[in-house]
Amino acid sequence: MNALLNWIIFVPAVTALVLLALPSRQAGWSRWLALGGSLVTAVLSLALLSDFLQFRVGQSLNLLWLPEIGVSYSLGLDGMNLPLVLLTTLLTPLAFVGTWSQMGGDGLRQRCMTALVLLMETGALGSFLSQDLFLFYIFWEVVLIPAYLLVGMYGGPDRFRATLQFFLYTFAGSLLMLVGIGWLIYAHHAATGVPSASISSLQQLVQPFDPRAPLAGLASPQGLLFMAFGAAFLVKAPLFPLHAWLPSAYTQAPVLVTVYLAAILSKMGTYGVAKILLPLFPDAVRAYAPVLMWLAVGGIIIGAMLALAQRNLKTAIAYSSLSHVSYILLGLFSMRTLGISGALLQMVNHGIIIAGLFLVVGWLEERKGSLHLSDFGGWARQTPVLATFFMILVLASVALPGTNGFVGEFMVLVASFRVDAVVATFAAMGAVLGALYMLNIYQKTMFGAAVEGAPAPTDLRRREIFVMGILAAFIIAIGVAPQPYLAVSEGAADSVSQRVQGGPLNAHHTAEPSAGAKERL
Amino acid sequence: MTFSEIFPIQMLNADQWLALVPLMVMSVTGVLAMLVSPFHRLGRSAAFFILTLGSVISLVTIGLSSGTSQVVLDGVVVVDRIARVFWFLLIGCGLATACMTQGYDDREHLLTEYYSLIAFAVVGMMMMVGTRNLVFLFIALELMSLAVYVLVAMRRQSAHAAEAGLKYFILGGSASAILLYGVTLLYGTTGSLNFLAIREASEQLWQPGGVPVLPALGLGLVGVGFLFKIGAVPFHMWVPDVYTGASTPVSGFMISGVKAAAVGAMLRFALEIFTTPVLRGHEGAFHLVLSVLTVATLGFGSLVGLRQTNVKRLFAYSTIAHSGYLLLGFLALTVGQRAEAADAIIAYTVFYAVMNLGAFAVLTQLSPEGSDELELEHLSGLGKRRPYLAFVFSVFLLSMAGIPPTAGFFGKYFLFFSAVSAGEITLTVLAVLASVISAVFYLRPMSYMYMREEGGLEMGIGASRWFGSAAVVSFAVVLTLVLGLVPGWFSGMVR
Repeated sequence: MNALLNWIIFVPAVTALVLLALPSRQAGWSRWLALGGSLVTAVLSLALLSDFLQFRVGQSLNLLWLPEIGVSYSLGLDGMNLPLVLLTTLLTPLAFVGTWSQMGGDGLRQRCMTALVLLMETGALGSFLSQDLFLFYIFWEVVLIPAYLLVGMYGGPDRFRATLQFFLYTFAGSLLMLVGIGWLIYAHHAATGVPSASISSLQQLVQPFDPRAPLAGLASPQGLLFMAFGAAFLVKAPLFPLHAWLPSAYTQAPVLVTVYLAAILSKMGTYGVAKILLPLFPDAVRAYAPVLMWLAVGGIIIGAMLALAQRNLKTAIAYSSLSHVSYILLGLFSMRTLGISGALLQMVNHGIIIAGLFLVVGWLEERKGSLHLSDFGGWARQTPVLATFFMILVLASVALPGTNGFVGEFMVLVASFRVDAVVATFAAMGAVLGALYMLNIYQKTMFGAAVEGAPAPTDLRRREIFVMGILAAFIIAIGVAPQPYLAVSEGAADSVSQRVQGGPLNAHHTAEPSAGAKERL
Repeated sequence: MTFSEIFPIQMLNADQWLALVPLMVMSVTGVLAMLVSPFHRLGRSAAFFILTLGSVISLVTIGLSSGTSQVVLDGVVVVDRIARVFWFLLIGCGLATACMTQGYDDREHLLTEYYSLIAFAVVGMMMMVGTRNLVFLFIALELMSLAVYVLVAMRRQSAHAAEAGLKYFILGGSASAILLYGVTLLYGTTGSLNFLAIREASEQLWQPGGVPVLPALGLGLVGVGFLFKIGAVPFHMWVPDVYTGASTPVSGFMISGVKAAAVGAMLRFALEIFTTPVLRGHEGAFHLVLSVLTVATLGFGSLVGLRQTNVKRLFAYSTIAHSGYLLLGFLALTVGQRAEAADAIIAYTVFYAVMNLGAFAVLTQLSPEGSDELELEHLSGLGKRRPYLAFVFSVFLLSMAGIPPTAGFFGKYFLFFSAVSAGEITLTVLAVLASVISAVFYLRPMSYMYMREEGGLEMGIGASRWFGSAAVVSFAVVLTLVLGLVPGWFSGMVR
């Protein structure tokens, strides 16, 4: 039964290899094959869910891989990664179906696109499930090259610059993380005599941190490690001001890839913050959390303002993604159980909403042949089904009560209000701006006068309605009854919060963090 | 008077003879291949066959030999773990180069002596990594270099090849002379040619409070000789021109074999002389020099590589950058005293040789007829026209960029790990940044192969489907991926 984790990770990869080896004459079948592979993965992950609900304990798998450098092949399911695993496995087939017609035609394009997306799925699932830092890194990097190739091969006209930027940012971040991993393994070796990259055993080993001054803290081992890991996670998420790669990569990528980048790859960054950055470097996080929270608020507001200023539909949604991912980071850096819980929920929520939004953008582009906001107008009358689903997504995105976006962002705001009222106030202002630009986009595309002389666009096809229906069902289900989702990740959020706060939080918690660190050692 | 008193020749025992078998087999191979070369029709095939047979026999004898170290003639030949690993690698490089040349040699009208020169070069390399005697090291270096000078200049119809050969010969000759001068200084001040004796003498010479000028200069000059061969800044001038001008298989041979031999010899030199504690007393200056060299090499290789459009030249700059990573390992080994850095260097050299051989076998297949100089534009659309070749080429490129799950990733990781454990955090971070920059130029061929359609040369390129280089490509890609998934397999074998 434990092999289930392996199956979930490697079914997509094997499907991808089969796809790549498919003879050219059969390439027309590749989207069916890819869909089949991703459906198998989805079913397996549901089996994993029922198993988890039954026993309340995740499965795990532990094999020695490279004992001489302390690396094991160690996978484990817990309350923190279960929702993200389900999000990934369920969203992949939906994304395939949602972009079905855009993949059509050329067999080669279909084959490469689906195969590379499946490889990204393997990488994402592997990094969510890894309980070993080194293994986490390997899977983390597996995602990079397919993403690079997909944007470069099937992207828009400005794809070369976009891929280069995307690659430079993410690869620089992840190599710094690799150095950090090497350091941690060596530190474990120096302290205990055996090298280990296991996340749980590295948690026992708090690196020294100098809390006297901000700069001295950064130069101390924990501060350096914090920066190295932070570089990887906060670029991928991204946190303002590390987001420069995001607008061009999201805009130039084909819709299927944008969905994947925004819904799943950005979650790898936020998940890394929750799983690795907070528990492993608690003193540094405590010392810099105020700054990080301000940066997150900066991301919320600046992302929203930039989204408001865009004329290109896809870029606008890309900036909105930046704004909403910043809420997740705000919740995580609030270090409260409530905030982390809300952030974990919001990771799934954002995945669902942003996937839906980008799919809608893709359909609009497919029907209109343009992404320019001024080319649209009056579609609500011509395509009522599309307009309805778009409305649901917009409402979820602006966090209307009753949708899933409300629950997560509200929890995040409450938690950050308890930490710093000013920050929370600014974040709430960001929510207002969010409503402004989403409704603005909606109004410009769906309402208003139809463009003169343009042929009436066709409404959603049956399979597109199916995809949207499932996404809308999740939006409303989580919005109305979030308790089951929260219950799964509650324990994980609580333990992260306990760990990073090192006991009850007082007003001047940075006063003696090193004493707290010593106690934990 | 007995015979042994008149001729004080040390008699070898059976184990020592056995340990020397691979070296002798390769020498005989070289001679035999030279002898059959002049025969008109069969010469080429016969020479190739002899080289293959000799290499296989040597590989088998190394594989079968017991793991014990044998020291022959007071260290003139040392057959220990390092020597065996490098011998295996070097013979493999020679064999792979010979296979890559199949078909290519007809087209480019290479002389039949090519194969015997490869055998001689391999013998020189094997002697280089298997000696702790300075004079013998010099002779071995010259044996290798002379053979390679000829190999580089062998494509007679090309002016670039002649230029490359001459440049390599003159600069290489100067570097050898510098090395030899260092040898004389070391011999003059320490009274010995043996590494271990020099190490003992240094412990006497290096007293606290002062650096003895002559032996320090000697060590430095020998170091310059090595740095020239691995192409470290500022001794890198020859690298781009020579690698571009030489025939593609020969460039592959140099980037894998010649470099590995230099690294192996340098590793032994560093392990047996520089690990003495007295030299560490002066680590400040030494550390500074080596760090500056490392950073300069890394920075130069990766930054200048960004602007290249010729694929072979791009690989030449990449090999400069890779020398920088190796220097990082040497820094951890000598200054940081991390014994495991030696394993990291060995692993990196082996992995790097494998992926470079693979990449150059791909380049041989793609080499345009007439010029043999592949430009990046020629690669446009290769992903569609020859998907498998484009795929394996991408694997090699990604491996050089150090992206998992490939061998290159682990090679780089082991080096970074040893540097981090030696406390060289700043240098490691700089190396990481260099590696990000160089990743950009490794991705450029990929972006041409997969992301551009137009402009690919239809003629010449993609026409060659030589069996030999295809076999090398397949073997190298399998090794690259296997070592990327289970690098423990390799380190277990090395031990």
